[in-house]
Amino acid sequence: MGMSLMSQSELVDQVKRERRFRNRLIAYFKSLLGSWTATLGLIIVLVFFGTALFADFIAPYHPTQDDYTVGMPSFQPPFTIPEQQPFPFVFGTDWSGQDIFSRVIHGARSAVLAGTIAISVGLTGGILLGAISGYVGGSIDNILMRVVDAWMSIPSFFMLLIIVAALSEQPWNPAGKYTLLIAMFFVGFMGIPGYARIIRGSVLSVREMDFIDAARATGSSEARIIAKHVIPNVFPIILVYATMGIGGAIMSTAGLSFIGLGARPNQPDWGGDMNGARSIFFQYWWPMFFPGLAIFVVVLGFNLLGDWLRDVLDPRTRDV
Amino acid sequence: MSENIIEVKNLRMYFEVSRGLFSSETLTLRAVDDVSFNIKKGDTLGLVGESGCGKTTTARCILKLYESTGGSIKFEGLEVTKLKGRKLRQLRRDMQIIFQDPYASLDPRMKVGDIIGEPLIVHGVANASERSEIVFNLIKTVGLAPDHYYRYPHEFSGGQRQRIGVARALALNPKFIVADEPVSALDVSIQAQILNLLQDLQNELNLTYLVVAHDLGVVRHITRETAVMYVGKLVEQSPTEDLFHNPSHPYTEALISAVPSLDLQRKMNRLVLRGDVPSPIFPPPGCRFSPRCIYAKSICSQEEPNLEEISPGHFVACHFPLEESEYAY
Repeated sequence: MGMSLMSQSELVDQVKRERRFRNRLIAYFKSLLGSWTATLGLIIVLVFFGTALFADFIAPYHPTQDDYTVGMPSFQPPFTIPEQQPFPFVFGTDWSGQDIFSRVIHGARSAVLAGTIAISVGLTGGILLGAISGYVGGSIDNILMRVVDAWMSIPSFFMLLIIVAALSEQPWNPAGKYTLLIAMFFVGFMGIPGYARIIRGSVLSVREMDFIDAARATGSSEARIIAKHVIPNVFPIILVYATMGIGGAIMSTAGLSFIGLGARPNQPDWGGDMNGARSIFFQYWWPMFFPGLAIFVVVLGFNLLGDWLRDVLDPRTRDV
Repeated sequence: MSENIIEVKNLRMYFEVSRGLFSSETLTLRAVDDVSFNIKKGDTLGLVGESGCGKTTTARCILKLYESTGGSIKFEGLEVTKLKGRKLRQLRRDMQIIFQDPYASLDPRMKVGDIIGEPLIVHGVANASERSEIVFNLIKTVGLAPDHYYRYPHEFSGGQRQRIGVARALALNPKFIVADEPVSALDVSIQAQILNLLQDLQNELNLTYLVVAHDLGVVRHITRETAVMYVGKLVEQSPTEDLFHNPSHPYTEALISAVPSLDLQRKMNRLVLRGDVPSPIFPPPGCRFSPRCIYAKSICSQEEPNLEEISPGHFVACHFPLEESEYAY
């Protein structure tokens, strides 16, 4: 009703206003807050990055015991209020009296690193392979995709085990100093074929669309077609998979640390901490439980956010 | 007699298709095989035939979306098939295309105004403010509202999207527009709107159309001249009304008999063709229609008929053109 009372130019102005970049951002944000799962995902992800960035300021205790002037009691259950220390042990303490809460907070750093490194490696490789394959096509596509098929047929966790184990005992890697980084890199590396396939598929489907022919018929150059039509249509798909992939990468790296390939002994790392507490789980559950909970919550957060991104980045399903 | 804007001569478009998964041998698919026709300035040629007969391929060759295998295509006397680089870009300003599927032909991530204005950017025709003015005018010309400028394609119906496609095709003031099945994806009520829009634009802007269609009703409504294709070959070409009154090729006759009609006087039984459309990879010898033709004689499967003028402006490729057809209307 209100619409019909507006003059044409007012209507134009209104639509223009709605579509302005800043207003679009606000609209995105409102849509995000409108979905409680997306809001939860965003909060988790923000808290996760914030924790990693400010771990030194947030953690009540130093994550490793070597700094402690006064010995801390070991195996204190969660929410113990200690007699000699200033802060409560929110998540309890482990066998050597380290505060688990502080360790989980510092462990976020290695998780952020795992997500970032693995996703960068996986996406860079995947975009290169997938985009070349999909856009060039022909026999290059055929060769690259057979390589990807072979790559995918290797059980990735098994391959990771072999590579990381082999590289963790090298002269340039004393006492496994770089093993965690190597693990993160190869988690990403083994993810390349998956990304390559997805990106190839979406490049192919976009390339076959009539609007590409329409652009060609108006005289657009190949470079313009790629920049203005192919990338904008493929990028959101990549973004969604990257977001969800971060969760997966964190989990794989934690898995490697859990079986002892990754974090050095006593380095704060969720997977490594779970491994250390494995044998005493049935007497003392908390040293293993809380790092595991952290992994679970963070992976969940990225998946929730990814779900929302997928909907909102497609103009056909978003309502902003 | 006005001059020809498009002259297509012996156009051939062959595709190599691989024989199988493990074979390096290829087969030749003759999508367009020796097709010739002319289009006069300001005229509309309808290109009809069933799916897979090569009509869309012909249209795309003319626009140089495909590199044709052989033959010549002249646009205002200029040989198109050899054009490259800047000359080709120049040509693109004069020839445009309207697509069949209005859902696939508009980039879902661009605003309508940007879609229509893109050809102007590509050719550096106008600065930003002139451009938006041109686009607003185009939006009005095709019957959309100004606030549609800032909307995305998914917010529109099929008919409106096709109007956007028409506006984009008009942006560079082309002389010649290929409409590739412009209405076959639309509701019947919307079809008429788009066809009338195309006709109005033709009168206003002195456009020349090549309309690819499989719907003879559409062709009769909008074209002056019609060419019928069958398995990569032109079988008949004539002024549209003449074609409907005097179909001379048995295939044309069968097509016309299949057009639904409200005329109760008209003979109701349809001429039903037996058998399948032959593959353009293995076309039958002689006349390509002969295996399905009810009038075929032995020569039809031995010798290929040439396209010959049987009455002024009426060409047919048949050894035994029909004198008169009971299916005509």
